[in-house]
Amino acid sequence: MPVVDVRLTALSDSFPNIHLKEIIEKIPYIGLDIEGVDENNGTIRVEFNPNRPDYSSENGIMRALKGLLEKEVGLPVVKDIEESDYVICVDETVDNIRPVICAFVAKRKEPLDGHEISQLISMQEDLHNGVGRKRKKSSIGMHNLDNIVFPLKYTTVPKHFSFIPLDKENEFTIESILKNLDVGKKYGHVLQDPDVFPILSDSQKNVLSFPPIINGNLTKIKSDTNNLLIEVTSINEKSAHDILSILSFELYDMGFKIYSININSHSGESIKTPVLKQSKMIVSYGYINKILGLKLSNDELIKCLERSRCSGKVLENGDIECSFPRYRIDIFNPADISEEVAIGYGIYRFDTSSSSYPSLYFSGKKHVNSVIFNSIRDVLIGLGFVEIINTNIISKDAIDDFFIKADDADLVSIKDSKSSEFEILRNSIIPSIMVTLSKNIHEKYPQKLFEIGKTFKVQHSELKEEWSLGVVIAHNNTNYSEIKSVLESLIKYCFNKNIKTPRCNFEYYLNGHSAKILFSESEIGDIGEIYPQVIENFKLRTLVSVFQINLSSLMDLLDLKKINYL
Amino acid sequence: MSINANDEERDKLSTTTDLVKESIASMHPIEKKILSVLYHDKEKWTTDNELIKESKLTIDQIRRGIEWLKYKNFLVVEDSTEFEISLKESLKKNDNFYLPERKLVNCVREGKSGIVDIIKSEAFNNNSKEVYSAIKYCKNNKWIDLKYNSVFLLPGSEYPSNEERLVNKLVKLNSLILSHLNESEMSSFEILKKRPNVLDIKKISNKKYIISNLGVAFFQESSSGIELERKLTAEHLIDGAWRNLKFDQIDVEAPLTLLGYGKKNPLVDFIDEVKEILVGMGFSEIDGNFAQSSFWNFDALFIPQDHSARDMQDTFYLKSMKNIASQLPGDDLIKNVSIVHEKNWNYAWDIEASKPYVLRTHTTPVTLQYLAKEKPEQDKTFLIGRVFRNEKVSFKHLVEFNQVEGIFTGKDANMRQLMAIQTEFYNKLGIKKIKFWPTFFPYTEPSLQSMIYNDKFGKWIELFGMGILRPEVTLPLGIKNPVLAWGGGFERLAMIRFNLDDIRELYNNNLTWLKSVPKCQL
Repeated sequence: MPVVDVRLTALSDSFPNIHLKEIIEKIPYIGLDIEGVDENNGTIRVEFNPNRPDYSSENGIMRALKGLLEKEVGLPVVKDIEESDYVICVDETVDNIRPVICAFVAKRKEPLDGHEISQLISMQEDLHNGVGRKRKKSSIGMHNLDNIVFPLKYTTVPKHFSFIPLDKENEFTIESILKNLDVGKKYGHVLQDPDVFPILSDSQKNVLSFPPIINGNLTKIKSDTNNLLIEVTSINEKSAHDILSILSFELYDMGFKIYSININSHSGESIKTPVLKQSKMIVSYGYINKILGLKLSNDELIKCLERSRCSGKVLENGDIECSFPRYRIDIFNPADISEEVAIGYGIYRFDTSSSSYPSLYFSGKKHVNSVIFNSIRDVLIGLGFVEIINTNIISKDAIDDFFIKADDADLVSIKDSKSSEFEILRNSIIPSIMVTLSKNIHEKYPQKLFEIGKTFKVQHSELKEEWSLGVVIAHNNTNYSEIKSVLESLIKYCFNKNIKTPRCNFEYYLNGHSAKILFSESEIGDIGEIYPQVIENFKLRTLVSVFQINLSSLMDLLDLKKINYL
Repeated sequence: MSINANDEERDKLSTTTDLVKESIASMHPIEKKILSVLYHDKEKWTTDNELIKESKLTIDQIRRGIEWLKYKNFLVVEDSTEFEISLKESLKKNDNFYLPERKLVNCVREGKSGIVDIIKSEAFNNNSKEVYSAIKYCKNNKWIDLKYNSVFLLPGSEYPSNEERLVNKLVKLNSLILSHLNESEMSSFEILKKRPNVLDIKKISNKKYIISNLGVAFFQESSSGIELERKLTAEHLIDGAWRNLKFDQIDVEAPLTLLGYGKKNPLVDFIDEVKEILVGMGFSEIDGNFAQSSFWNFDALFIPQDHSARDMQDTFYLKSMKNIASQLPGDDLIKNVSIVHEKNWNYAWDIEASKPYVLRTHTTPVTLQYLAKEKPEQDKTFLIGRVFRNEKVSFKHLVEFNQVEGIFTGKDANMRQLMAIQTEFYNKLGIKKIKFWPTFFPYTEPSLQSMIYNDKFGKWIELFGMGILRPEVTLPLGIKNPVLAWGGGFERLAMIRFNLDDIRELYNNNLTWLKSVPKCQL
């Protein structure tokens, strides 16, 4: 999750009457995780969730905190947006590449300070990665307004077009930026069309930006910059306006005056951005109390909304019309409004005692698998076996070492596994147990182990997963008779049934010392003494006898679909 | 007859002192061995060495047994100090030992009568001091005369001196106990003692034991006539011999080796305990597949198709040479889900992206399929099962771990109830300090996370997340009532339970660890 550093001074300055410790304790109640306090820097590091990109800056967090602590409640507003004659003309050639652009201008007397610049940069980064979907969906450009001559043009250029990119001294062609610069290599794939590339340039044909890759050097923001142009390009109109609204509030909170920009499309339409009109949603009064389990009056409920920086008014029919800021892109339906009320009410105020416990009666029960597996465990434990657990994803080596002569086509593997330890979904439970034995060669023998877990195979082009039981005995005198008496005991003591073991050879068993396991004429597993080469492969120095049973099949054959008591 | 004998025995015992009675009950085989050796030589002091020889016990066993018996006043210990004399090691060269006076006599016999010659001789090797002292002792023994710096032998030199006799005895016997010397040996010892480099005198402390009257009485009481049997056998029982037998007192306190035993895996065991808690709270267990379609793992949970959680980075996508295809649900459900995605997330939903198989990244797809199938108006279900994350394994991350998840749905299900259910569950686990914070999950709204205070670690720990399933999730499934859902990683609980700071420990299958985890949590 992305993180933001909030200055402790910003907290204490905003709430002079509240103890700092108390302010910090409230931070989680607006939906932020505290990662840690950095005493040296005087900052507190908080993590925010992807649904709240407005938390990507200190100002955004303060906005919400002021609501909960009742310093400022209700809808935040960007006041007095100045209409301007700044124009961005959109060329039709961008339609198939990155059709949307929106922007605004922000001006103030004082230049940006170091803290503000770093906040804007980290905010841009977080928005790019989150709602911008790693710049694929939307990306942001921030420019020094004073180096720009309007009107601007959002158009496309061929790959040999060149300009001076940010922090470079020489011109680079588009092609070379994509090939040679780190940002080009990292984000170039976002642009699908290899022939034309989006460019935002001014009336002097100077390049402001090559979205979503890199800005031009001309409009670089420096420590003396006090007038800004903020633009967002996108493949999705809603996403572009979402991001622009977050940035508008941010610059406004920094004390900038916001000026709108006219975006003129090639079809002759013109819109003014930023669009910051609040959103509205009608929620029935009863719904919120019902879903939260509260009994709030209308007034209380509206107060809660206001503490969450929303607002509400009661309509004639008793429903509530809720308004929320444009940047709240996470509010889709009344459920989201109910959360705003809950947060405004204070999660810590909910009565979680047993009197809130639902009185509706249910009788709980375990799944039949749990019950049967525990019966199997009981018998094996009585026979002296220790239960182990392994992962379902195992290495190809473990399967190869076990000489499973499975057709590779029957194996299911992991796409792009990060580790050779985790490559294949196991098709037999025994290789994992062999690995366990090899990890325990220094432990006392005899070792008697079992595992209940899943195995996987492809059947009729569908992936089939089944519960399996694997049982092994390892010591210098173990043999077929010993393991078979365990198998017979298990089936007899657990189900009062018998199995048959007709001779059958397997690559991983010693020839003549193995069999398949039949239960009412169906094959449910195999049993035998492990072949010496396999034992060597697992670096063991003692004999091993095993059996494995497909429990899913066995339970089907026993018709154990539910728990029987009588 | 035998019964009578036993009765007599009992009568006798009842007349002995309380101490003896008590002693019989607690008599250790070692004590008995020692006592019997002492009893057989009851007039005489017995040493440690003799005890070792007679009893075949080790010196440690004897020391222990003596302490016990001494405490019970069954024997008397005498701690006597003796001196042992032996010849100095440096004088024992070449198996021959000659006092300097004899060396001098031998020198003269070889023809070296001048004192200077004697000093230069091989025997004295220029040690004039030794020669002069030899002369002194020779004269004391009346072995020589001195004239003109030459030595003349007298007839007495043919015979050994008293000192030589003692030395020769020591050469033969290695050592002698001082108190065993006779009168003339004693006076020779007094002379030799004063001479440097001849004798070693070692102080030895010797313990000796003799059985006390109480010990004799006890020994007679406890063993009069009847042999002690080491153990009861089946033959004793069947032929009735046990009636005539007295049985040895065994050591009932000695620690013994632990037995090997079969055992449930600690994690599985703990999961089962938690299942019991949930069943007790009225939840019923459900079960489902590990491999799921992306549809059930993501789309049905309102996770947009361009969401980073769906990246290969975090999720295990499956492949096979046989082109496995997951089974998607019916068209209606697909359509409903695609509509909520397109409407709310503002993108073109692609059915192809919902087809790939993934290993479930959470247990929720199983719950969803249950809801879609059963469409319950009210229900309480849970599952604890394996989930998969494509992460780098570390002390706090595994690629496979377990998740516990529960839902409650009903006409009036609400968030306050959800928090109460969670609180009740935590209380049953023994967790008392709980707090809830708002958080975000794509498929619940409102969403909460819970923090619990752990006394062992002395800090707050983030535990399970929870929320009410979004209408975007439940309505397409045909579920009308609110569904309260909660869940999270189970291993976090297990690490607290088993005091682990490395999560990998749970899946290492280290047999020592597996056996060391106690069955009952204290």
